[in-house]
Amino acid sequence: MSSVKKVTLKSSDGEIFEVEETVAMESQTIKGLIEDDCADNAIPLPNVTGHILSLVIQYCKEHTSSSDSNSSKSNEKLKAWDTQFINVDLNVLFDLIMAANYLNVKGLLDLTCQTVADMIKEKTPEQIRAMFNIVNDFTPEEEEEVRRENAWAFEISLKNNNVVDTFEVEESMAKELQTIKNMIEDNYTDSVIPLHNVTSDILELVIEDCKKHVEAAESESEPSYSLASKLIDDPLKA
Amino acid sequence: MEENTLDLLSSLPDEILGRIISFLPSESALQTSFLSTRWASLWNTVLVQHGTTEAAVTAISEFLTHFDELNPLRQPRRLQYHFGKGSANILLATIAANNKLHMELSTGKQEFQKQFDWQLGLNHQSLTDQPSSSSFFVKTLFLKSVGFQSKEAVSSIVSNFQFLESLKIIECNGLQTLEIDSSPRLKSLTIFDCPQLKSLFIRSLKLRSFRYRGLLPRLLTENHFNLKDAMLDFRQGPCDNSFGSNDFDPSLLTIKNAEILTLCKWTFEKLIWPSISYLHGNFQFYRLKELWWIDNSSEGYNSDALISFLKLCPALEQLFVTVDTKSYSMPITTTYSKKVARHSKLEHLKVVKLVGFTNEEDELLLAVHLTKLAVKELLIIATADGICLRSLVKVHLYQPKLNQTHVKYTHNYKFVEENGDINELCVNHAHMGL
Repeated sequence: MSSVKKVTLKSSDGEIFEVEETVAMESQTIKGLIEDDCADNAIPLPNVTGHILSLVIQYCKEHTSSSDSNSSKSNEKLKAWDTQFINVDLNVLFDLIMAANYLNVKGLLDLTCQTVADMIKEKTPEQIRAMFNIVNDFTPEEEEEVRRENAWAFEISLKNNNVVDTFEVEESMAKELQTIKNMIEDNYTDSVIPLHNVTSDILELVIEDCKKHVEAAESESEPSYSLASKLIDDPLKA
Repeated sequence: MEENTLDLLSSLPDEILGRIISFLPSESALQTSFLSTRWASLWNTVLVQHGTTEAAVTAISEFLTHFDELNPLRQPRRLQYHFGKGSANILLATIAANNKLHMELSTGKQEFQKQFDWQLGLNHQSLTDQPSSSSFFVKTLFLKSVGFQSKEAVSSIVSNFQFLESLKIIECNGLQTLEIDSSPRLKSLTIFDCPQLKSLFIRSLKLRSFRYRGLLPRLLTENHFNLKDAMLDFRQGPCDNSFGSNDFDPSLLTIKNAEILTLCKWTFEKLIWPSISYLHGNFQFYRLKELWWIDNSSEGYNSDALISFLKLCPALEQLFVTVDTKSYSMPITTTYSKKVARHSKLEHLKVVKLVGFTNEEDELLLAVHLTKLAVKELLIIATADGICLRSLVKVHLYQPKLNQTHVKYTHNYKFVEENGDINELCVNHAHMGL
């Protein structure tokens, strides 16, 4: 190896690691120390054990070399490496999270947190508690309260189908039924709407009925109520 | 490897838990608040502010803009805004994923809520504007316990929500009349449990879902709209006995094309049947697939009303009948035409669920009647308490002792206890449990 700049890292249990500067700088914390000229001797990392530090260094090595323009590592290969790398038991995973946080290695922090999130998602609270040994310290009343308070947030709102109900009306009918005419005119996204056969029959009945009412009695109050008169606007009654 | 019995996850610092949660899909994220009190407290940071009634709009605006949907724990999702005389009014606003906002009002001390009228205008929405992807906008809004002192502030806040699609108004004591002016964006309106509501005026063109629970108010609609989903839980009865079928007709037309419907027997008898009986079954609910029928059981069960209604529902697939002994019942008996309507068979009916029948014989009679009306093989489930389930089975034994005055099919059926999971056997109607 030629004269590549190296830094020395010392773990909490006294293990010494010699690492290339570029690799070490994946940690923003260490980068800061180097830039502030505090890295002449070994950098003590009292919060990270040797085992975990070696893993972090492994991660940094892999990810530094890939940011080289000469590197042939594709994103896919890197992802595959990450997946295998993070396949560790829970204790190690949490230690890695804490180390990545302390050392400020963003990629590793995201990777570890995403891994935990993947374990949590789509599981019920009971399953999550079992997996992580979380103690349910709610009283039954408290638990009920939390659920009740948040129930609204879980409601599924009405799905907005872009397929709008469609109704088609013969033009003569459409003109008479002011309401429907308005609907059609105001339907920005809809084209003409096909009406169910039987509905057409009823519409005809309705229109016929209404016409009779209109012809028969102008001012006479109708004893038998007709649905039609509610649907058809004033112009028709005139 | 040693046994891990420690809860290492919860001992991670707040920011890291926040980061983990930011990687969760929104549905799972809030669920973490159920894990333990520590997790619940992560979600319960409240931003407390004091201000004037007029400044409430800005306060809410800023609160919403600052919220980071992708990292939901970064900013508080709750705002407690104190305003009004002596800062007695408190507005608690809570944000949830999928553009939901919950606003609950309170007035500190329990005082008699003065009756008030409320006009809610949502018609200032520009229809060409699209929400910017960066800031939080409200699509679904829950308004709870709005009172006469807070309605102005709430109105101003709500009128700013340009992209509101779903509005729920709950438990507003003192609310007497409600007028809602909405634009085509509003698709869904729900009003539950406003005990003094006497009059409801809806101006809307594109409403697709309407859900109401409480006394039937005077319903007025300015335009016609076609509901896909209608829940008319008027089991407490009408507010005003003079409200008749004439008055109900515009509303009837809005539910005519519904696919999902909740209807009370008395509503059908008093407000719907008188208008359509003369049409001899030509007025049909063509699209109705899922029906929840709320019945009462005064003086023995009479299924005439239900059967008459079913004959108007050719596309029905699922039927839920609940007998609620506390439900309002009509003192008058209506007669139903025995004429066979055009569609007298229910060709698509697959599932029936009977809830709350007190008399097993009535239950069985209805079940058998429905089996006759259906074309397909029906799954009929009955339960009195929601827990103990029975399903209808055919009995192929010859039983000579049975009383022959019953409908001749009765002896072929009986209800048998089911041990299966209730969810497996029969999903509930979409409106049940709201």
